[in-house]
Amino acid sequence: MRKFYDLYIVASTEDIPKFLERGLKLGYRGIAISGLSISTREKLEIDLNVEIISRLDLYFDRNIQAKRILRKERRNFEIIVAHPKNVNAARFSARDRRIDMINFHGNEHLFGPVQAKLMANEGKILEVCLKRIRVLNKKSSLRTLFSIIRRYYNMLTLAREMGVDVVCSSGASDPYEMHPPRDIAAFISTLGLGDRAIYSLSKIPMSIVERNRLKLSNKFIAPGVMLLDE
Amino acid sequence: MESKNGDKIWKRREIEEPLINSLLVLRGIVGLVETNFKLVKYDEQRSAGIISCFHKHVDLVRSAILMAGYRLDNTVMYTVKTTGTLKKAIKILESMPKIISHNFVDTRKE
Repeated sequence: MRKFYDLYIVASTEDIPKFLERGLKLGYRGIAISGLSISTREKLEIDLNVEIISRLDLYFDRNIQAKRILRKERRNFEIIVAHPKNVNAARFSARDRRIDMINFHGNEHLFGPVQAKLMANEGKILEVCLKRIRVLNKKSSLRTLFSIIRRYYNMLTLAREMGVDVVCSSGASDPYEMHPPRDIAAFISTLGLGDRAIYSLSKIPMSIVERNRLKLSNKFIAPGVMLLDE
Repeated sequence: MESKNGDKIWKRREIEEPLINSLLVLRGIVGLVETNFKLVKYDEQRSAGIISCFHKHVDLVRSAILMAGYRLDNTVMYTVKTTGTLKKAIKILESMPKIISHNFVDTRKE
């Protein structure tokens, strides 16, 4: 059975059980909570079959800010996601090995062909979150709908053309904002990702989490060098 | 469907309209015709229904369902199960509870 992960949830420590319960109902195997460090997670006493993954969101426009935070926090979080605000920050995010994913929410114009190529070469992952679609309501005009769908379409088709791996997450700040993984996969598949859409919620997030957990463990010495069991 | 503010009962027409609108936005009239979209059955008590469509366009209909949910205020719309026969779909619909129980409290401030 496929294991699904939602790698972007915005929740306070008290609300985590509600999200976990909802995640379990919708068929998720793990959810990543923004701003929750590994040490805080270990203090939580929750007994559900959904994993909690710690994640740090990095909003920056100057590279030096990012470097300072990365130096301090890399080992406290399992996943680090960059939210660059300008081209320089976006290029830096694509090159730095400590950053796992890049989210262009609100700055979609930064994800152009050059950025996509750099990300594909460096093995960086593009995070697409469904925050933007939440602007929709009963009174939304066709124009709003069109502009939202166009943004998703442009990003996803470019990512597919350039071979950039994509992770899709809900970005939910309320349990009701979470969706079943197969619905999200269908949505991004329709908007340009095609057959690879299902992997963006299962295989790719799982590989990031496993890789980073291995790196944070005591067995890891350097890339390609591991301490084997005695 | 799950309503955030209590168990609101949606009428069949209120559900069908945003679904068709979303499909139109995603693929246009030709796409809508090609999907062979039809709300076969809708149970107001359960706030759930059965949609039939051409099997090659399941992804498109699922995306339309996701989008349509946002167009209904404070409501979440999602696909419970995809099956190949109407008989199984009816069985699943009938197995659902009549009044949707809410395990979650809405934390969003009004």
